[in-house]
Amino acid sequence: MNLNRNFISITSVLIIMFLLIKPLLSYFYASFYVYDLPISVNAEHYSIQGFFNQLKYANQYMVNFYVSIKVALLGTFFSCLFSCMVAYGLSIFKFRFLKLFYCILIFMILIPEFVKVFPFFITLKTLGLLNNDLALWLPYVAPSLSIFIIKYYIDVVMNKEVIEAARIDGAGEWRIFYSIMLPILKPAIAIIVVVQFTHFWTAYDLSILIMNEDELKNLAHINLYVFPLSIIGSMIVVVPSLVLFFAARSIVDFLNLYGK
Amino acid sequence: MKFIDVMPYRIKNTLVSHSFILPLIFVFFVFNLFPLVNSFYVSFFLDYYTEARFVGFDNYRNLENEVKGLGYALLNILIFLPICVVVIQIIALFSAKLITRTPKIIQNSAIIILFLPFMLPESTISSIFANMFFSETGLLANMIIWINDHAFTREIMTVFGEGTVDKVDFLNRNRSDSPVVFIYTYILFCWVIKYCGFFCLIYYISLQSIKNDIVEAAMLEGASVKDVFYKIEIPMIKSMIGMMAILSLIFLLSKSTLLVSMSRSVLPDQERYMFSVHGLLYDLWANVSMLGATTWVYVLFLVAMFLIGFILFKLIRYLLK
Repeated sequence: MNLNRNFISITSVLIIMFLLIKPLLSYFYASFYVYDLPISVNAEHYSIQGFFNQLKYANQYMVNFYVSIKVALLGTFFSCLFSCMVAYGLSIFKFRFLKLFYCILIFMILIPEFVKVFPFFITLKTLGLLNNDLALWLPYVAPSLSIFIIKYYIDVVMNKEVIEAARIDGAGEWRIFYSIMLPILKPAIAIIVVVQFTHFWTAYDLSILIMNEDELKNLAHINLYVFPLSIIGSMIVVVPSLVLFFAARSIVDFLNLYGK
Repeated sequence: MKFIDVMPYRIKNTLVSHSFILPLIFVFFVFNLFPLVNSFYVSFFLDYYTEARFVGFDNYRNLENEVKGLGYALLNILIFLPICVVVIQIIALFSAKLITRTPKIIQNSAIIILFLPFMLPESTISSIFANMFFSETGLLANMIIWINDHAFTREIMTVFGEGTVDKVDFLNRNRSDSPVVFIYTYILFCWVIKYCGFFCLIYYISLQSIKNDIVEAAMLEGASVKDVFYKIEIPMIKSMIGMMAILSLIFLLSKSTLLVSMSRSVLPDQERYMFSVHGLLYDLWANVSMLGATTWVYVLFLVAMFLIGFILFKLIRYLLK
């Protein structure tokens, strides 16, 4: 009976996995397609040459690739650092207006990014940040969701006596932050790195609106324009996030930590 | 540095503690509050960049005439988004439960595969599914052709009263008058694929964090797997479900590429089919004053929606007690 139940669960999960992976795999097959037609079931048209043809065609977007890499790396680094700083500050110190800061965080989550984009454009124009890749990552260096995740980790998992002990030993707050907190927060930071890198790597709207010239836009913008290019573009876009996901083994550690 | 060292402890502590949350304060004031206040100010003027004539609340009064379809767009959000949230949460929760009952190797593979669509840009997801749903050569069209070409599938279809299956124009390339049901199905499908994995992962972690002792004790008392799931696990992760529902609503509202492409290219230009406010905001790009007014109407609508939701939630909880 138990075996029967497990069999049903396993089959159901495999079906769900198949349903999720099938469209993505179809798209991957289509990157080997020689002609400019949408996805077809005729396997005879697939060729490795088709993939290289499309890759050659996408070569003109190498400039956008560098912009994407630069924005994603800088954005991920600073957003992770500042998320940890803010979460540490909110968890450890006592503020007079602590509730106000929580309201700020909730407000930043509550109002959708898209609504803010248009007034935000006017602000960037005022600050002279248009056509500057700084505008693609600077506004997102303190993401509310990441701050909440780190704060949750500090409040639930971490033993705060370590900080008290360090203070007694004479360590300053910044010293405690980078020598004690950051190493302890590693599993949570791994999750934030994946989420933030994905966010900066796939940021699409802002790049379209802020950058006037095609050379300054990031890679995600090429997906919607031309059909055969959109396939190879998707392949290129997903690879770094995927590599990062596999590299971040700490995610599994984090899951196991809660699994116990 | 010596200046800091000789400071009174209280002032020094305040300075150090506030220096940690300085990035949050900077981002909030410069990139969140200032743009919204600025757009509120702009919304009181006509032709802000040329003559900047102060008109008071006239822009808000003229919204109905100037911005066609705003009411329908808000109504669409009000009706369709909660449906999407409920569907995504239910599928994610049940998928997470199923995953916890499989061997470890399948669990690890499922997590990676479920997370994969979340890592793709929304533009890519919409591109993939636009090709899947394309009425001439898409995967679904191929499936329909395959069903129509084979005798045994045609026989199965006759049971339902139809010999052949008609082509479904999900993307409304023919600009028909009533595309709404198919378009909604298409958007729902894309959103489920894109976000379900992320929420499934969160529920998986939550279900894993429930101590085995409680489940085992319930099983010894004779509770079935169904009982454990409905009467122990769901009540224990109730707060997480509520949080994820709000988070999914925010995700769906903020990720706009799909909505914009739906509103602008796929749906016909009739105002009653304008799917969301996102497309309207794009169209108002040249008219900054009306854009400011529409932005603020939308912000107030969202705040009202969340407040009503919160009050309803409290009321239901009070009544259930």
